Amino acid sequence: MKLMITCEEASTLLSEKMDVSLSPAKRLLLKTHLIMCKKCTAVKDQMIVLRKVFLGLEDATSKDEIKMPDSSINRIKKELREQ
Amino acid sequence: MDDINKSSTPESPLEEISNWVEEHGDLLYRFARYRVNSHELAEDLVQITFISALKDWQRFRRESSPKTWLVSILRHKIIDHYRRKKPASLEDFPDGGEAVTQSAIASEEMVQDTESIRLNPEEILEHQELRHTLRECLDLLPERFKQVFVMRDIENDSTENICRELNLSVSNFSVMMYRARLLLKDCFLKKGFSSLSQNKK
Repeated sequence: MKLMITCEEASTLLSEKMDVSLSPAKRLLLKTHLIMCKKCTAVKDQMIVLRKVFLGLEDATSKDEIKMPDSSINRIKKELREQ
Repeated sequence: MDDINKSSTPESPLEEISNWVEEHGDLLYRFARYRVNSHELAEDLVQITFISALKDWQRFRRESSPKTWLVSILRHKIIDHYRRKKPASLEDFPDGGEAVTQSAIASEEMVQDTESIRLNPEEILEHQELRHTLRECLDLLPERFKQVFVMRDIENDSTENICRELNLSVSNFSVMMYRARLLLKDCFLKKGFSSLSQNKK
């Protein structure tokens, strides 16, 4: 088993950890890398924050930000009448 | 009395669904717009949803709200749309995603970004410009990657469900999520914070 991982491997594991449970070996490799690597610790913080942001994005979007054009609403009603 | 008369007047399926177009059209459009990359396609999917609702009107049991029923029809239409497309590949990204990977992992600026700007999800979501930037960044994702990302990081669906529904292996799913997250992070750090600093000036 290798003892060190690269920054790319560490960021892959950071993302994987958000979706599945990592094996104890992978967890240890990641933890060890993060202790020594400031850059990947920053990547980790940013990934966590952005996940929270995206989880809240739809609720935070106001109704006025994305509206269906009136022309489409009229087109759909016309299509419905023709069914 | 009016209410009694109103509720006792049966609406035709066409009348009822035409009213739903007015009431729920924007919500369905927003739902679709987060999940596909073009507004024309989003409009078409909403139209197909209402036409399906009209055809299946008898099957609507009214145990759920019309909104819930319509969203579930639309969600299936979006999945059908993606199933008809070719399987996702890293080639959908320019450079197979390598440029994004290198930029997102290796940049020293990234460390400074985190140190100088304390990211706070609530604060980010309060800014309309930043919400707009997030949506712009989402549109940069190749469509199949966008679908997987939205199901996981916007809808908060489970990895198991997504892999089952989209017929993906967990390892393919992990690669897609990784590429999508790196691209979005890179895009947001570049565009989002420049729009914030412009506003502060």
